[in-house]
Amino acid sequence: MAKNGGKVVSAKPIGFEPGDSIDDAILKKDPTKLSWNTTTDGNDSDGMIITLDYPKFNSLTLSMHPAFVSFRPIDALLQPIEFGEGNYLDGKLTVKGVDFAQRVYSKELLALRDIMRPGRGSFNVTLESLFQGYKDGSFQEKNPLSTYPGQKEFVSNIWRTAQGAEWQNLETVMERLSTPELVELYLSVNFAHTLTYYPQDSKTTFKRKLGDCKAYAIFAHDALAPKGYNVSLYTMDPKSPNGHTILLVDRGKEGMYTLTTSVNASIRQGLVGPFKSFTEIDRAFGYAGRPSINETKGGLFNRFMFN
Amino acid sequence: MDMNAPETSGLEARIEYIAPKQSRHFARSAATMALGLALAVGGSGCATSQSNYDAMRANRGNVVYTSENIPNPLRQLYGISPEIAAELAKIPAIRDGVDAAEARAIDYMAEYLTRLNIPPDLFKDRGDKDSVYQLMLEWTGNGKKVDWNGTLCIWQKMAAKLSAQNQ
Repeated sequence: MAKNGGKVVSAKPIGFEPGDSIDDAILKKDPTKLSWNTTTDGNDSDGMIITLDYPKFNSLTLSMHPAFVSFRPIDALLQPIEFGEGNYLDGKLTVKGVDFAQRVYSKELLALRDIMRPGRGSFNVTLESLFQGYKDGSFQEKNPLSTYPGQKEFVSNIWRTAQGAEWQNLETVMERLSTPELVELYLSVNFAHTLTYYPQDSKTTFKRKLGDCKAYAIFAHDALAPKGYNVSLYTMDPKSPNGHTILLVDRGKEGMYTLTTSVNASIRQGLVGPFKSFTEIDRAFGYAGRPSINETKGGLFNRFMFN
Repeated sequence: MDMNAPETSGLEARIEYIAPKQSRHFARSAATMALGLALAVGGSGCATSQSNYDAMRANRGNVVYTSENIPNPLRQLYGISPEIAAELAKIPAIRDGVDAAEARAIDYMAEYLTRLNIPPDLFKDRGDKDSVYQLMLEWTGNGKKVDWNGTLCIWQKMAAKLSAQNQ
């Protein structure tokens, strides 16, 4: 499963010899995990062409025991990146873009292209952040897109300091929360966790800036459902005081993603997925074999609240 | 660039109107109330009023801006990138009329975008598929016989865990 989505679409070996392999079985079972084993005789080179469906501006990590390297695909697409002894590798690893068209544009133009990706809200929130950055003087440098970190991080940098009237009004805040990623960002920055012993709607959560897992999930539901997202609330072990409610985002063939930000110790914080079944979700959250309820908003307010 | 630079008279001349934010909010509230009243008089009831309001809000994003109807403060930027100007026109701060600080921000953006020299086809064929791309990983042993075994894991928390294990 992938934090914030993404998968390896395919991997094609180059220069592999008998005994060298890409583990197709693992990739087929979990398209976010690619494993390989090869040996070079010192003179040849081995390689792979991997097709990724993953945000170009997010970091990727290759684990090559005992070393590991991290890079952003956008950097490799623009210019080959080399790793070697300095990264505790026995050999030299080069990562580069295959599609030449990707390199026709500068980093700034690719960033602009990413900012203009169509969303589901009534306006483009990332472009609004670029505008807001100019308006409030956040951009001290002359080239604010030279270090563009991807939509969510870019928006995050502006949102963290934004104090305008638009952030004091539930309607205008909801208007801005146009993707599950932005909802995750807003909840984690603005709300704190507390136990609530009564059902709490979005308006109350917004006013208090406090809520439990279900209050967070209801808020996220109310932000995303009007924009056409297929979302529902999923409560695991509903009759136990240790139950837990999360928001499910159903992305059809891609699978289901879970969104939760209210429990401090959870390893499943944020937007995580894809999951193919409820059983898989129960297992991931440590509720395997226990009862669960998947409900849309109609049935929300008759339930006990959990953390 | 100096974001605190005094406004120029030329800039002020380009501002079509300056609407204080509070007045704008009042105007919007009044418009919403008027809509609700009109629907109530028409016998539509509260639920219909809400759904009409939701539809009205959703339609804000469906306006197609062209050189004919692009708001005046965005005209220069429209010449640089019609796509960006059209999207900017939908942003609430600009949609509801710009003040001096917002007009200045538009000017700075226009200046920056001019420097980027945006190709006309930059935003064509973008969309979800834009996230699909190919990378080549090439491994050489520097004259030694060495294994190249590894895992690419795009779940970041798992990647962090693998990193921790490796250390």
